[in-house]
Amino acid sequence: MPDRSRFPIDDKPGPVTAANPSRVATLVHRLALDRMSWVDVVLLLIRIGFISAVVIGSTRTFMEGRFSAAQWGTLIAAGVAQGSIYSLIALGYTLVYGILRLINFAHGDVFMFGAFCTVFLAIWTSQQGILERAPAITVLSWILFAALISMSIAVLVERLAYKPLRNKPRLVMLISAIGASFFLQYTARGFFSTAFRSYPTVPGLDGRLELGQIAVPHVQITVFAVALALMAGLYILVEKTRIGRAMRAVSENMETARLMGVNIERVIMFTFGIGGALAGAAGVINGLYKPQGVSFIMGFFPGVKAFTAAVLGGIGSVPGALIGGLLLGIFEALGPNLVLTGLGIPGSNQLKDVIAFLMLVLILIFRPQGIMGEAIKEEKA
Amino acid sequence: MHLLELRDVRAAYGNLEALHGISLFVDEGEIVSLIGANGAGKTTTLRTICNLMSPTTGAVLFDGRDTRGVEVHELVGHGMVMVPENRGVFARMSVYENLLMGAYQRNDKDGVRTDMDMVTGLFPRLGERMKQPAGLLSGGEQQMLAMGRALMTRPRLLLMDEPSMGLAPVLVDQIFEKVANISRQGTTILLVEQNARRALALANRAYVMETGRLTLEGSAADLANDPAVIEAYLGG
Repeated sequence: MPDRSRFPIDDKPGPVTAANPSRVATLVHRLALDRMSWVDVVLLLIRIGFISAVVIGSTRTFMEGRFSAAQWGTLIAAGVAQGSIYSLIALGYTLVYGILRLINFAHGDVFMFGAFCTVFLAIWTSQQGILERAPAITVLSWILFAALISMSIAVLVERLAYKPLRNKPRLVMLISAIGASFFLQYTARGFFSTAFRSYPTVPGLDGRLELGQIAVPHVQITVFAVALALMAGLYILVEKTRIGRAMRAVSENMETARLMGVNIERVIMFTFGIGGALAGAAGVINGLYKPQGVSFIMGFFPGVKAFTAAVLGGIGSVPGALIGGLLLGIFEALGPNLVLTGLGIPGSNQLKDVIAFLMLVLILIFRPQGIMGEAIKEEKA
Repeated sequence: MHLLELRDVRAAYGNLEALHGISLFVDEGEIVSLIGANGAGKTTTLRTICNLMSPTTGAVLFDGRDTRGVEVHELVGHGMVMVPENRGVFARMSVYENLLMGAYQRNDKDGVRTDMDMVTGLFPRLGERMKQPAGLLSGGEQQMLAMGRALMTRPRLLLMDEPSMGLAPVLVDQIFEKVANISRQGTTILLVEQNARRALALANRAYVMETGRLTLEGSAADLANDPAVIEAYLGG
């Protein structure tokens, strides 16, 4: 027996027409307001507040004409370069999540380890004059070296920190991931101390390319080109090769993949390895891009932001990680100047990280499946 | 020597024993049906045969060798493959890629091509839909894909878990016809079914399973005339 006392006018018969207003009111009430809890109301207010802040902030910035078109172009170019680094790291999160449904929190530190080990090689090649003589090949060798280091670290972390917990509840692996993250950070600190070390300046990368009024630094173009090449390689690997097919099969249905003869342990190791290699490569181009250099703690922020990018794109989706990374890079570059300055917030560029993490929270609340994501189905036993 | 033999196999989910000592065998060339009600342990039996679960005691012998310790993915190489319950097609992959997954361990390109033609000959619908994602196929087509994919491993023994589940009667007829076809081409089949009438009509021999035990066994024709089976599974 439904509780009719809440809807005293519900029993009035008759069609839903303008001539029968109480009936209409009841319907509206039942469809919308009655279903909304206080949480929904608060969420709706957050949504409205956020959208109006963006709209008001951007309009005011544009009205004031604070930045020229060329300046916007420069910002977007920087955003794309930064975003492609996020994308490369995000791929590692998304590949591993696709297969193990695990957020590999140590991934940012895998990125750090590759970048950190390689900085010594980079400094050495610079001192020996090798870098001067053959810059392109030398940088390529850095990338290769970092990829190898990060790949080995990623696979080791998987074997030591995750594999023994494979059959435990997923939370246990997650906690182990956080432990692995700290382990890597403080191992790097122990080996390399807390100092920052910078990648040497690569000849030819310190200039700018003039595209009309927009001046794009060569280093940004290099970062984007390297990232694009790696992503294309990954795409071919996942879509066209036998191991890529196995990865997709395991990510859809691990048990059936095993029944068809796929050695899932090998696929899991391979997945961690590929994700690690991409992170290592990202570590080098990040080093080229960021003059302040590398340190043992450098993995944390890019790690969390790449995770944000993966969630934004839809975690588990490879194209999602690419799009998510680029979008996040661009939002981060534009957001402070576009929105925050317009709202009259001082020192807006220092609030870049706030934008990234605010986005993470908003996505998780309003669209947890991300842009490309689909609702995740839990596999049945 | 039997192709597949279970000797007093017990298996458990945690502390809960699901199989209380199963002994059965399947000979080369046979179709054997395992029938029983929901929850009798039919799927558990298949999962134990595939090593997705390990027997607590007893042994599973395939081709005379104990399969204890053999990895699930290695069984395909030995010639055993399962069409899982609910088909387990890779929904986001194309029909063609699904079939290739069946040939995952094979390196003989020509042989794979021949088998691909054989499968599309057996299931013409799959041939028409090679490029489509498997998730867009109908239930019957997905069952055919799962069977075709299993055949791509060139199995000696094909294990099938409820191929008729969720399918319209017309489609069930078609599927059973294909199973008979596959058997005629020389593949041995162990078929788990709730649809006892059809399973008994198809099989050479059958076992009846109840709450983790085998209660009856014999030729399919005999079982189909057994009053207890008629009463319990063939609807009086």
